[in-house]
Amino acid sequence: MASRQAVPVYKGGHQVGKATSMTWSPVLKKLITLATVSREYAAVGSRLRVEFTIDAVRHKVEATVVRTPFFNPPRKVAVPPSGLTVNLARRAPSRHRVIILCLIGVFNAYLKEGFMAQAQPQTYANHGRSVAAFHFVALPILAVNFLWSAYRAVTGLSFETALAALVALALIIVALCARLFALWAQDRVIRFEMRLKLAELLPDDLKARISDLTTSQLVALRFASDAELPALVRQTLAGSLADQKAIKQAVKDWQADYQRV
Amino acid sequence: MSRLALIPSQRYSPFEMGLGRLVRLDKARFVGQAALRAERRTGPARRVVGLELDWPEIQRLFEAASLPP
Repeated sequence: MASRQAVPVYKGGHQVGKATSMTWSPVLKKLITLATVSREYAAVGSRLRVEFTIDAVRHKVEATVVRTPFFNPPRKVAVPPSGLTVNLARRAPSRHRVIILCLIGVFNAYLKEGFMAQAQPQTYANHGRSVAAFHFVALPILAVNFLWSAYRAVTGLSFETALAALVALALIIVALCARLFALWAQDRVIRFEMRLKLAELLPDDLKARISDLTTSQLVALRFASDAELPALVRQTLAGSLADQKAIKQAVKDWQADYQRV
Repeated sequence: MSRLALIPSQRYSPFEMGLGRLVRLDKARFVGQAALRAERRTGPARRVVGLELDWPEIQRLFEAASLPP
């Protein structure tokens, strides 16, 4: 019954392959064989005929292509619950919770430091602000992520690595855009606020030229006190204060702006 | 498998053996890459399959020969 000698496999009188090893499966209670057949007849369910010799007489018996492995019950790949797995499953959530709580605490501390606490009064020297969570955590992580995925894409180009690199790039663009869009909205509000203020404070000859001030000049002028504002505007319009930095340095009585983030 | 083959028809490719899912064609160059790529495009000419023989038919043949199966 068992055979390691290849025997022909037929379909409609023509040989389409060979059965290379045959055996009786005591588990399946079936005679099974591995065979090499032309691809037209290789589909599961395909009906073929296999040469079978009984008492030195060759017969052809009916055979059906079945899925391999022949015997593949779910219990073959079932994973028993072991003590170790159960313990880990029980302990993991609490450990995760501790880590997440720590991260939230650190993040909150950063936010407080960035947005609220102002230990000393604001001056030109310290009016620039960096939010640690954004500038020193999020952006470096995004940069490292981009560099790593770009390196992966260059060394082993495939759809996955290329997509990862593009997503990393998109994340950086999203982060920068989120920052810029907020700044533009704030600039617009500052422009509105400053134009109203200037319309009240400026002498008549300067009032007519309020619209000549650019947004960036208005943004810099907001740090000036009401008293020195007309003089600064006159200098700015005359062109003697070239950029934001020059205007800010010309401010003597610094009016703090804690709202800008 | 191919190293042990005595005749050309004993040389099986992974796609013929149903092991195509284990072949990574997009990694660095290796021997046979072009051939495997071509074979994946066209599909293998033959396949290794499992067959189940019709046991009742075999039993009838043994009976006709007056032999035990």
